Amino acid sequence: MLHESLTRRQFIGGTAAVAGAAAMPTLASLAPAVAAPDPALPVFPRDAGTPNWTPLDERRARRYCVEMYRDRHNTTVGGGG
Amino acid sequence: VVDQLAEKYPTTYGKIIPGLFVFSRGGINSQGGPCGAWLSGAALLHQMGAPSAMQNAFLRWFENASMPSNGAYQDYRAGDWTPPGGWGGSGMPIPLNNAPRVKAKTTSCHGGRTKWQVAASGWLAAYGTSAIADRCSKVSYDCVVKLVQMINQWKSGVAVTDPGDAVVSGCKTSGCHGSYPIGGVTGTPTCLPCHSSVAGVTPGHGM
Repeated sequence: MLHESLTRRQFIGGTAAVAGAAAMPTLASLAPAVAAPDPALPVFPRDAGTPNWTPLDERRARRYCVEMYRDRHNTTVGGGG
Repeated sequence: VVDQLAEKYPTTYGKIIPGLFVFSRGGINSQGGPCGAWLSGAALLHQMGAPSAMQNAFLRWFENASMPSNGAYQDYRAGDWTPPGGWGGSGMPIPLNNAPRVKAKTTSCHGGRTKWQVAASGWLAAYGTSAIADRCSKVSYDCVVKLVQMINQWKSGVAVTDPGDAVVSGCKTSGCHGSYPIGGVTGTPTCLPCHSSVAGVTPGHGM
């Protein structure tokens, strides 16, 4: 909670300092760069088609899903969600 | 589904992160929010770049499908499915046969599950509270079936459209919720459970 660690004046002052530093080119250039999106993360084009699509196996998927839900597999890779 | 995508398309869909939506179990860490069974599927559709209409159709289907189906039990009865640990005892609980089916009419875990429990009170009295997990695992089963079918249709070139909801559309364009409250309402969820007068998800709730 804000009031537990900082007074309102301290918070506003700190926020202003950060905003001010960001506005100064020299200081801003020293600030760590914002990380670029990880290219390994999946970003697929909207409505992407897939030539030669190999259908997913519905039976395998539905059974595995129930087994996950009932914790027959490692729940870190599934569950109700 | 994610596992199969990784096997079949390792350089593309294989990059989808497994377990990203594990937190959605029980409506976000058992908090009763959005049901994880459809939420995780919708997330996968989004990650795959599925058309918005397809994501909407999946959500509309969840709201209006009578679940759980008896598919899991029929799969068990087919005799060609042996889960890790086997069936019964300390292994996989045997799916119950012909559990009551209810239309959730909501996307929330809390609402859908509670509505089912009310409708299935006799069933629960007979089979105990473990029948709730039976229901929810079957709902996940049904959602995966629908999800796989929709993905396969989409990728094979079948157009997927958002069926919408005629009642909701009427409410949005009738001058009621299109402008009231100020700004109109957002989205197109079913009228339930906010309006218990429509059918009543939980009697006494709503307006």
